[in-house]
Amino acid sequence: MWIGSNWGKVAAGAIALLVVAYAVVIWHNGELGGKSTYAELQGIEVQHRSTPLTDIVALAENTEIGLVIGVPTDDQLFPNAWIAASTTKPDGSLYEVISPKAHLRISCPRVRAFFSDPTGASVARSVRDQVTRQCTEVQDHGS
Amino acid sequence: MVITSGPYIGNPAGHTALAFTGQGVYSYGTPNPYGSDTTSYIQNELANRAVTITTLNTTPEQEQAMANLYNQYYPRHGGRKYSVVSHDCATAALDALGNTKAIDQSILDMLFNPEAPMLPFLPFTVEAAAALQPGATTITLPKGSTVPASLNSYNPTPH
Repeated sequence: MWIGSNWGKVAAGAIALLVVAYAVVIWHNGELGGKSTYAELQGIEVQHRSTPLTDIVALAENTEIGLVIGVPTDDQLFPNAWIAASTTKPDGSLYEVISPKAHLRISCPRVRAFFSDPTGASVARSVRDQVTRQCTEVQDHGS
Repeated sequence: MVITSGPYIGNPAGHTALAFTGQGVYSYGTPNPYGSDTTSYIQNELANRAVTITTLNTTPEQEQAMANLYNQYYPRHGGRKYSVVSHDCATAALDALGNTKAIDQSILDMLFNPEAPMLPFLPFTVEAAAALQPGATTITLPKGSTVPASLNSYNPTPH
């Protein structure tokens, strides 16, 4: 029978290989691959929600995803945004836990100063660039 | 309310989250802070896939207990870290729904009996368990559709 033939075995092997390749690609590039990072950031958000930030800060305590930065937002219910500082999503966007209605509320001079100090300078360049694009040139209201 | 996002090319397993009246959405392992805007969450999911909404008859006390369970046990700082097989969106929802009896234990025992489980812990099995609960109502929103205004009551209300 065809299934028992050498060609059948080759076809079965190829299909298995494709399934494994799909799983690997999905795991690294799809939604599933980012869930553990988001879970870490959600935990930090819950832990710090009752303490609104007034400045950009770095949290080095998280051993799972490395350095995390916190930024004040304009949302009173969810006053802090938390961003993975060492990595970005496969599409280059930020891993960040932030209210969907919120915007970062931080002045550009403060962001530039933060990224100039030794801790801030260790943040991945793409993360620095994206946070810097969201700062405001006027003095932020919280500081 | 159980929100189940269907599978798509980027996530063949789908995703499940809970939302509570006036308290927002609780979605473990996504960019959404616990208790944030439910409408925005669902609209974002609809960009990629269909979403099934199952509404259960729950009391405010049950909903508060479920929110508390997420806050206490499902972020990293509350306990174990994320695991796609044992500590994920599906186990979070089932823990919350089961511990507060929002879904009858008999339904959970039937579907997830550890000695002879009929179903694995996956988003669609959470949806199945919720749909079996007496009084549950289910609607499916097609991919690309708009979130009905009737779900606005699940958005967080300012303190």
